[in-house]
Amino acid sequence: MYSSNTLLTLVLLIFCSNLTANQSTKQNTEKSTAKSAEQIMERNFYAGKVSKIKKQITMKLINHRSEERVRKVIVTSALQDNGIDSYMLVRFLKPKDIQGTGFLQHEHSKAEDDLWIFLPALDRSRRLIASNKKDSFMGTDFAYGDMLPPRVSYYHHKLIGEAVVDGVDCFLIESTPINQTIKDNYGYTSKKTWIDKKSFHEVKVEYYDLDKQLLKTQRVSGIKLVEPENDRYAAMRREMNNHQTGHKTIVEATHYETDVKLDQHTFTVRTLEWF
Amino acid sequence: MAHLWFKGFAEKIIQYRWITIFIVVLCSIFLGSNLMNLQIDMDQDTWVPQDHPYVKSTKVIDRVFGGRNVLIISVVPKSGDIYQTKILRKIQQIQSDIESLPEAIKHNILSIAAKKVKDIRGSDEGLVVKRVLETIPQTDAEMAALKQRVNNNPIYINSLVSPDGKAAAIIADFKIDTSKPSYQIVKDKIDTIINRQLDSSVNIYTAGLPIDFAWFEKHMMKMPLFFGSAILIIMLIQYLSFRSFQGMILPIVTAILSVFWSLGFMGLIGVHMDGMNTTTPILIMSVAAGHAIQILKRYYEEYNRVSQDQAQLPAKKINQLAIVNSIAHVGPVMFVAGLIASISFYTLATYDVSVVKHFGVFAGSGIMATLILEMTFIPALRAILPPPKTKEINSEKQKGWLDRQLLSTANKLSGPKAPRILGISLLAVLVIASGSYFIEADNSLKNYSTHDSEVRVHDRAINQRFGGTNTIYFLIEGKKKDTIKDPRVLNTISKLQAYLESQPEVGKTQSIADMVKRLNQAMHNEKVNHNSIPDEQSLVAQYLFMYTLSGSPQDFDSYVNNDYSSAVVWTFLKTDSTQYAKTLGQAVSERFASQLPKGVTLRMGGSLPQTIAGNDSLTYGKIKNVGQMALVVFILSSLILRSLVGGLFVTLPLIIVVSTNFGVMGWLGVPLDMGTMTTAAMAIGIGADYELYLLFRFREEIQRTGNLQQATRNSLTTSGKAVIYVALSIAAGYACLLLSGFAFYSRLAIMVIATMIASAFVAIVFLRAMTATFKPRFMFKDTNQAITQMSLKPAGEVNVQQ
Repeated sequence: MYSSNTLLTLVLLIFCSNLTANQSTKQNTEKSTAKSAEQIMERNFYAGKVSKIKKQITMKLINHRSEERVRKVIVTSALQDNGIDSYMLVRFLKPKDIQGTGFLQHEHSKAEDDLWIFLPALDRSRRLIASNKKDSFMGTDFAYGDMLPPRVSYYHHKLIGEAVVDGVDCFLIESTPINQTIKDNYGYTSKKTWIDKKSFHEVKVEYYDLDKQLLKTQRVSGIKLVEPENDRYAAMRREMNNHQTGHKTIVEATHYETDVKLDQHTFTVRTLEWF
Repeated sequence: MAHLWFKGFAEKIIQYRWITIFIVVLCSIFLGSNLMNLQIDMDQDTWVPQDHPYVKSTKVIDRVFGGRNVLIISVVPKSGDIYQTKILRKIQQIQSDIESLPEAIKHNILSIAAKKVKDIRGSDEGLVVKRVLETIPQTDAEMAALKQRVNNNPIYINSLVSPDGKAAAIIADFKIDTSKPSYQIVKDKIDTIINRQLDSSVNIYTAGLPIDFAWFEKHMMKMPLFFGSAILIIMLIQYLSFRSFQGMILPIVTAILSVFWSLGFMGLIGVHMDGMNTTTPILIMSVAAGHAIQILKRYYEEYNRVSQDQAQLPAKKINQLAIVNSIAHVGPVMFVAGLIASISFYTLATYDVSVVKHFGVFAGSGIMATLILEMTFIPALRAILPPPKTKEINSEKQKGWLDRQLLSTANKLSGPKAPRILGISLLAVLVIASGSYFIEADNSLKNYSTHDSEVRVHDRAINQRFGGTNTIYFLIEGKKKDTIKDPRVLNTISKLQAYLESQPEVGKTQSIADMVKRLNQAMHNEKVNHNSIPDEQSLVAQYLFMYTLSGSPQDFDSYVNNDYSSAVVWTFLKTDSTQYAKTLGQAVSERFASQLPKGVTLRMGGSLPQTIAGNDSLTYGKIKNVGQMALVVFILSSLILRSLVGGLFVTLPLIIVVSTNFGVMGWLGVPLDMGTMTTAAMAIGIGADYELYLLFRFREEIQRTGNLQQATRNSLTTSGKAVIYVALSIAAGYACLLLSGFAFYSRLAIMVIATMIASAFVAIVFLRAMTATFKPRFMFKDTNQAITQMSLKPAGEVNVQQ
């Protein structure tokens, strides 16, 4: 016969051990979820890092009254040796009055980018000491930090669910800046990213401003495998809607090639000025 | 004939008195239920004529560039300049707090802390385009750098930072929900934001159209208090006039019900309540009380006579006979006068300014409601109530000072001195009317507040430190896209700005040309000679494009439209004088319109030009409107009196009243505004009542007695006395607005009081002198026959069915 006290102790022990086991399982799950969220974002970070690509792009800037401004550009980009940052050369074809205007960017994910602008009417290029990551990219609704996403380690990531976006099965990741500096530099308190489970390319991103209000939504489509050997993709269409201003930008690649001949001078000021 | 119809009608009302009251109650419930649909409307569009060119251009500017509800907040440190960490933090916080308001147009909120406010600077290294203030400087060097960034960009001096650096401004633009416009809501939110930053280190001032409208709204909200005071004053005057409880209560019942009905009717037909119409209930109440007093006066008179002539009848029967007699005699004239006043007010619905239209419908409906109630509800109610006590009757018929004065006036007016009185009156009218030469139209919202009021103090504080709190815009429009990038257009804009800034009251101008010049200079290593518009359009285009590389897509939205086919020059003025703005606009148009390339036009818009549009509408529209109302009065009174001379007899005194109304405005320096302009309409609408009551009563008396003096005496001591009561009630009702501390209301009160004095004087003195001098046939033709008839059948002998 067990005394009533012994029985009570046993019950308590079983309860406590269950509780401990539950807590431990929960912590493990959270840890593994966190880990897998980071892994997903890591895959996402590299999914768009194409070694080199040349695209002809149409940019449509549409204001809240649905009035449109159209720009046509040729963008040549390549990964830098660190495999993370990019070089980018943009040449404007349309509208006519800015035809030939060039823009050269040397991305530095840990510092301010180097930017140069070439104005054919002035026949001169100037260094542009201007932008940080949250500034508008070439006057569009995209910020520099939206076009060339920040390092994965700059954000805490959490897998908050799964969803289907435009018929694509996605992971839904919530990302929050690791510190105030990142928050200030990129201008977001959080982001929600829907990531294609197959390509790991983002399909949809929501950006929340410093007041935690939904600022913008990006929708990405026409994702093509352009570098099969490295499992790298390029999106043919991106649409960014600014919910607070009613303005939106649609970027569409009408033509692209990955077999681009590049040399050491391609991303220099000399090339920028050659038009 | 009309007497008989009204007699029959009154008899039916008394017979079916309970049903009548029941129907009135039903109508009140129905109209009352529509009160909930009545919307308060502070939309500034309601104050201006929509077809005016300035209003049209303002709408285009507002749609494309915003700037319609510009508010300026100025942060002024009590010591030192704005370049202090604490002050900058306040500016940054106000900017951020306003951006989070749903009513704010986010890309039109400017301060040195705004994202789109950038420092454009050239250097050997390259071109710097960076935010002026992104993070608060922590060291002296950082603070000095900030100061330099501000001073490098003249576009921000005098607009966002005062020239001495001792004040900063946050310029914000707001969307106001046009379905339920209210500026008070925005002001309250702004006040909350400001109060969080207010402490012993700073003064914070606010100015701009939303503030002016919010103050208007605030004063509007006090109107129930003034309405209540007006009720009490009118009741007091009526009590003093009749010395009876019924005499005090019944007219006020009509008055309140008339207001209630007309408000419900407005709700029913979807006419909004606006700033101007907040005083209309007092007008309706006063007019309603006026008609009620006329009929009440006659009722007491008839009660007296019937109780003397047919003393054998029971009191209830005497009461009913008195009711029927009073309606039989006063009914036709009340019907005609009410109809004329009502139609006169309804003609305002053709006006091109919504607030005036609303006023016309509201006042017209109110008078119509009065007419219906006085002819149905009041006689039915009076038939139910106990007859007046002997004490009441005696005190009412007691002759007092006023009666003695009226008798003395009547003697003079009916004697040989009548032509002389008429001449002197005309001369006095001419002298007063000559004041209209000095009349000025002014709809400035600011000037409605007193010199020491918060709104004016703040406005002056900001005007002293910055370019100005009053905005006008010059819109440059081309037919093709990229027109604005044309150096010829940009150079003209630049010259236009230089001209404007050389004018005494213009504090600041801003345009896309400023940005182009700044970029050109920066791209040429800050050489001063390059602070100019480039010669080539392609370079302009590339500069603008270059700027957008580091800006947001909407950075230039307040200066140029999406396809660069039109641009706007923001002009800040220290004065809100519409005359100044009008002259400036004309000078700009004459000088610069021809300098623009073919197909490019220049026009003016903004808050001040909208006010000019309102004034233009008042000045030209008023003449049309007064003429229109006078014509209605002439036609209707000619028809009623069956005489063109009769029509003239009613209309001419009204024209005289309107002329004196203008004259008084000129002499007293009361400007013509949306409120005071309605007093001319009141002069005609209500003045016609006075004329008609007196004319009808005089005609009745002259036909009955055949004696000019007697008829004059009788008409003046009855209808004339009632006219004085009515004028006194209306003037006193409005007089409480003198205490409002808000010029829109106090000016209106002054003019209503002046108009009531003039209307009563013209009806009692001028019209009587005119009648005695000219003895028109339409009044005197049946005198002998009437005397014969009267001897056979005394007036007031009517039958009433029990």
